[in-house]
Amino acid sequence: MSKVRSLVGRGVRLIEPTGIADGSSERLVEILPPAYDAKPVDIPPSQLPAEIMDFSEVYREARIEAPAHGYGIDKVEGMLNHPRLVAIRAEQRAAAVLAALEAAGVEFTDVLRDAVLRDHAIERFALAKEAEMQAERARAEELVVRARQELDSFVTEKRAEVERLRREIKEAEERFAELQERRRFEERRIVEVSDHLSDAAPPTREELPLMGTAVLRPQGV
Amino acid sequence: MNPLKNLFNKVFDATPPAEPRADASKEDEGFEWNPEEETVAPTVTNAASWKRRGVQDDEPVGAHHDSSVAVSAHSLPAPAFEAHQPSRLVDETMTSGVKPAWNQPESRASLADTQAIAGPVEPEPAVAPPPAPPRLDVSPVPPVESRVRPSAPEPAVRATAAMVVPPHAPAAVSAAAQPALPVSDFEEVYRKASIKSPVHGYGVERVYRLLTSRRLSGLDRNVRRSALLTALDAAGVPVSDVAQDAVLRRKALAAYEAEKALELQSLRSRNESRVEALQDTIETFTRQKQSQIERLAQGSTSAVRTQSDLEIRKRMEQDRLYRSLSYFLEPLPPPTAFPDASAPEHALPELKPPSAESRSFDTIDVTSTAEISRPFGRPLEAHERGDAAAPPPEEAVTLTPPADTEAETGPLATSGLEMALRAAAEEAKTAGWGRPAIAQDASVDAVDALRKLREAQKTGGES
Repeated sequence: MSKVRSLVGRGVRLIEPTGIADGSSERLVEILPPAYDAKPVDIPPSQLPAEIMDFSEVYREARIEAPAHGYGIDKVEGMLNHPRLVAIRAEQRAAAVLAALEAAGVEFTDVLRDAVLRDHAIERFALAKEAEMQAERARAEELVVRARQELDSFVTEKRAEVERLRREIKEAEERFAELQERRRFEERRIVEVSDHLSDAAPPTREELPLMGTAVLRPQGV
Repeated sequence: MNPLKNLFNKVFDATPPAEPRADASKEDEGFEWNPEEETVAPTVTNAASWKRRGVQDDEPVGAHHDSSVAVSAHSLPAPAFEAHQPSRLVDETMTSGVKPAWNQPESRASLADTQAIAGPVEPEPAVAPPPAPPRLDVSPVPPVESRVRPSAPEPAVRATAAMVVPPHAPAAVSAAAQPALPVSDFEEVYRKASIKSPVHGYGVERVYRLLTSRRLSGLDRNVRRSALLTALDAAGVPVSDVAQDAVLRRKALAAYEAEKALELQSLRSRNESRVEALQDTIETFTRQKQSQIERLAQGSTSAVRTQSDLEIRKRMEQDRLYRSLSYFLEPLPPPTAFPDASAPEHALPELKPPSAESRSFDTIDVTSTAEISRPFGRPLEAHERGDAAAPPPEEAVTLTPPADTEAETGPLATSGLEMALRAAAEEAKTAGWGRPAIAQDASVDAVDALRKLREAQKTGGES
């Protein structure tokens, strides 16, 4: 609950100092909520961004206008902070402003209603933006989950293919090594035959000349 | 007699040294080596040769046995059955723990698996091993004394036979259980290289079988060489034919291996390129997705931050409104705090003036409601100070809407309530109440304090 709402929620008491100069008395006026709680206008969801810095646009969108006589809460605030009054005590400032309002024929209830409407508008705007933010967060989280699932699935699939290709290479290398072994065996048989046909002494097993033996080394070694 | 022939006869033992024959022309009669029977027989015109016409010598052993071959084999000198002594190469391969390639089922399917080097990963086709060479002659073993034993160590031979043949098996079975001689598993390679055995049948394969026959395998190299040359000479086979065959086969083997090496290289290169591309793809996709995830997370964080900023700005704006209003207004106390109308006025305690310094206008401490009920630090009224001459305060004016709120909020005795609240606040402060700065509870505490105070006073009056 906002501070304004906590202030005016159950009704307020307007303090009108009278005779401040002699400190004699004051007038207390109770103002109950129905006097200033106007029903907010039904407006479509706000199109303003949450980054907005000036709430006047929010008020404009909520169709809140200053009272016809021009004395809204903004003007009262301006009066309170007027350089002519800023040097005097707070209650004196308040008395001066109330006097000015009275002189202008302005009921303080109008000022109060204006403030309450603005407070409503800000609150509603913030709530709408929070709902939008929550929806955005939920959507983002869903997208993140989906993106992670896609990533996992893709990586798993591609890694399986990489694994299959590497396995193919490995198995082909094993088969080739086996082929080389068989070829060596076959060549030894042939060399053995050739040795018996020639007069030269047979070479040792290590010296067996293998024709054009392919030497394949794994890449990157 | 030809000394080589003597040596030959001595080695092969099939026929005892013949009596000097009258017919000298028979000296030039050819001899033929039968690798299946491991016998050497003179090429008699009448006798059917063990070798069929048109059949290459490198066909699988036992693949062409039919009744005619059997009949012709019976005409040959009875072979001597001995325990098989594996060739030196085979022995070494086996003792080294490596299964000989030719003895592996997959190696027998030479082309099928060697050509599949570059192919996809598939189970090797099961190819039935070549059938063991059937023994055509199961005639009783001739007396040991009548045979010339090879120089191979006998105990090893016996041990090998004992491992293969159960002790109760007949001799014929043990002979049949001998493993087949190695057959080249590169026949398809040779065939594709258009290498054919010489027309006389004496190619590398047959010569190798001859050299590794059990009769020659244990002998000295020179003896074996002499026997081989004799056999070739007797068959009218030039040595160069065999040598040429050997060279061609070695070249074919080298070319075949080189081809397979190229295939392997090509496969490796292709697969590694693909692996590299896949890894690049994985990396790119991962980067892309992580960027997306990060962007989403940043968006979410940014939304939260924006909302937080908006909340701050909203509070500032509401504070601004509140500050402006609080110059002129104070909240009404909750309805439960209304004083009991039946309570006597004099029962209220004497009030002490609150200090003006304890009030701050900008930061209103709503826990002490009674104290701030007089904003702006206004001075105590004369009747609060006990000044009887002072005029009474004006009546409170209630602005109500014209409609239905009359019953809910009637005029209140404001000064009495104020006094009661002040007294309750004093009491509560003395009791240590209202320390937590909870605005909503403060007035309730004050009301409780007021009620307690009144009850205490009532009890005191009765006693």
